[in-house]
Amino acid sequence: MNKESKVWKNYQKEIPEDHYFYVRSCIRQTFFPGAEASLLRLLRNDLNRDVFEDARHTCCTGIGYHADIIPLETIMTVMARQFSLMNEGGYSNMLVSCVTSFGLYCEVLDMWEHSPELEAKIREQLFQSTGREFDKPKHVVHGSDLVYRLRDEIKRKNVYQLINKETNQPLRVVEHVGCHYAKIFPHKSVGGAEFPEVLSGMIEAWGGEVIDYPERRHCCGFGFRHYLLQENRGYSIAQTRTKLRSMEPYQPDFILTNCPGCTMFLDRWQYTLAEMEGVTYDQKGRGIPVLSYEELAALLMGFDPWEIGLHMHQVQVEQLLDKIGIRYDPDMKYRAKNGDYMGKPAAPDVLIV
Amino acid sequence: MVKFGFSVKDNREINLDEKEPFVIEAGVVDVAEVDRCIFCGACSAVCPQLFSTGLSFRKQLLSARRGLTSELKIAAGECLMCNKCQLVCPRDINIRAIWLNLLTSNI
Amino acid sequence: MKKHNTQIIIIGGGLAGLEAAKWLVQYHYKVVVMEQEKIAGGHVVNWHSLYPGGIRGDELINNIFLTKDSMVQILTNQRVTKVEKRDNFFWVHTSQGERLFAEAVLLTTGFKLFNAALKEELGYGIFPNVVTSAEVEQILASRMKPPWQLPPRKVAIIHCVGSRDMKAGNMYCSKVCCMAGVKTAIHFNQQYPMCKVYNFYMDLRMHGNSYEALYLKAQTEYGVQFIRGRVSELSADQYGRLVLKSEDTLLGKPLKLTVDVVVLMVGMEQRKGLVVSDRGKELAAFDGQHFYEPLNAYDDAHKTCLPGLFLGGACKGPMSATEVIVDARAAVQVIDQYLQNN
Ligand code: SF4
Ligand code: SF4
Ligand code: SF4
Repeated sequence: MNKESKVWKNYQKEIPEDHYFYVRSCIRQTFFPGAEASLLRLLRNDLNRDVFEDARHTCCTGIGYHADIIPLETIMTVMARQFSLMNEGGYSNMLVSCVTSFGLYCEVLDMWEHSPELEAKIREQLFQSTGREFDKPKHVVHGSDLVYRLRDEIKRKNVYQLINKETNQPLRVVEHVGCHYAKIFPHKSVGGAEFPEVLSGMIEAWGGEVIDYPERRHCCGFGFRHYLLQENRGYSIAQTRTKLRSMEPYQPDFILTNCPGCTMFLDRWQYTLAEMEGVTYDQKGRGIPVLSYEELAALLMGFDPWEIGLHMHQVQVEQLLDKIGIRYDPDMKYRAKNGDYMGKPAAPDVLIV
Repeated sequence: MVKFGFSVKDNREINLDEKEPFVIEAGVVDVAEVDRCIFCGACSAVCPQLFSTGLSFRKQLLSARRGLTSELKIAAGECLMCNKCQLVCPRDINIRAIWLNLLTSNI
Repeated sequence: MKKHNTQIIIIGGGLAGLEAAKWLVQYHYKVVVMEQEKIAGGHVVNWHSLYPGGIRGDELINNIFLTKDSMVQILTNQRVTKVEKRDNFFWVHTSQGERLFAEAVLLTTGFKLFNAALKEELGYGIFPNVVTSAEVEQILASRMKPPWQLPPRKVAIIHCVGSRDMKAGNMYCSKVCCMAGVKTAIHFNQQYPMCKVYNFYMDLRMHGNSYEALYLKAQTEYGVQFIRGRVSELSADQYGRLVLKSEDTLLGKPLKLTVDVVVLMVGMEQRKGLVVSDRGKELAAFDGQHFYEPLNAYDDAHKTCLPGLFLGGACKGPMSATEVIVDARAAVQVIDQYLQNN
């Protein structure tokens, strides 16, 4: 691949260094709560960035919207309220945790751009229902944008590198960028939708090797309605299987993602596929570990794997930790912070844990 | 095994890497003749069986080209041998003869 | 004699410009051809073969020069920036700041090729073995080193790249690329006998005598597979081969194919950068956003809204080499008539 191509240079967005109003991801809170906590800890404590949160901010309702149960005007009003909270805190840059939210913030702002009367109506509705007014954000930035921007600063603080400790070779990493990060508005991304740079830039900066596999742009299979209804899940998992099959021949060391949904499906469906079809997508029957970019950044900066919640992953991460040479205490895996034993999840039939 | 209440949907993809474009055995079919087809559908439009069984020589031949041959023999059995298709084919393919040969072949 | 002193400036020394110059000189006009490149000959000079007969591009251009008259003056490395109409004559300005006098001007500026990198999904500029149709012509004519080391075993030819594409801003068919795509498929088979070629098309536009026959030949003699569907994703597999995604739209099924080389049949676009003005007022019709429009498409297909300014060849829209020659010759007759009556 020729990285000097103009294609990358066409998609370079402006990412402010500092001063963000942070909006959380609902699904990340439940799937991988440690990921979000580690992003905040990393930005605030280790990189000394000003990231502000308002406890009154809510779900963006994006999943409900895409599942056809929340009307468009409702989601716009909810987003308008978040903007208002951001103004109240004295911020104008929005840092969005979730790719679904990020795509929707961009989309709503774009719709207002094209139909100012819609924006006026939402202003009116927000004012009537809450007495609030708002200014639109100057920048809408996804968490992965910011970590990409700060990747070299993070590299300087890294305790570990994406290098196989045994062989001294770079780790082979496949990445999957969430669909709504760049496929709706390529110009609001780093690197565009066809050859996205946001995650591969981090991998390379931190010493790994990016594997360009054929189904790199294929949807992870989340698909909202397709996952939410049990009858439809066969479509969701079929997409994940397409991706996993496409990665398998490269024997990647792990998958890196930037979207809570993608992390969830690429990780959990490996268990389901193993149960249904008896297959795992690695040679040892353990599956391919999946990390989100903040989990990776935190790990390399020396955070404790269990503190950042890696025991919440279905595909066990120890094989990866060992390759990088990250020190961890196996005994602490299922212990709470105070040392209490939390109990161990039941072992699946096929996937080796 | 765990019951999930759903199953993985099949992959409908034509994989031309695995299935080399099907070359119907010489002797059964004149390869140069079927190579002429432009998939215009004139044959199937006049086929009396398109209306009842959905028989389409165009579709069967194209599927075979893409390596999908499982329906070929059944399709051959659906043909009424009326020869209307050959009458209208702009690339002068003797479709009835191809069906006849397929019927008696062991493809 | 009046004729000998009459100066006609032809802007663009490609096939259309040279062909028109050749004939205008026979009518005893003084002709200057302005060419922006180092050598005249335009796109055609690099072409490996031109359909339907398969003549080499440089041969076709040389044929024009065989009848060359000393009265044709070809100025190369001359980029014309502005054509300025005065009462009864023109000033033609070059980027070097020179100003040339003309009684009539013929625009034969031709076309530029669509920038294939804009169709990002096709990976041009990213994967070395994704090449444009223009590059393939040069490779087949041994004017360029192929990016592949081993003879390709599988080749995909993708039609309509940058043509018939609203998003690319080109809502027209480039007309020659279907035929060129079929021709290229055959050439690959001839050059690499083990090679299997797949053409991905939206419609096959075989619009002339013998073209349909060549299509038939590609099917029956070379076993070229024609797949109706637009390739919409391209990536590399672990061996560096190119994996294509498309739908076989005639079967309604997704299709995957791995090949060694991908050829993009790039379309034609209007060139930008030439200003035409009428007594100081710039004319919007020549802003380079669209192909130049003649007075009408029927019996005034060479005249423009400016008397004395004429159009010839592919600056009016996609044309094949044969059409360009006919069009250039027709322009000669219209120009002669204009100058006789003036
Ligand atoms: S010969 Fe068979 S395929 Fe042809 S029109 Fe008759 S029934 Fe249809
Ligand atoms: S009529 Fe002839 S050319 Fe057309 S699809 Fe049928 S067999 Fe092919
Ligand atoms: S000639 Fe063919 S390839 Fe070229 S633009 Fe027209 S339809 Fe597309």
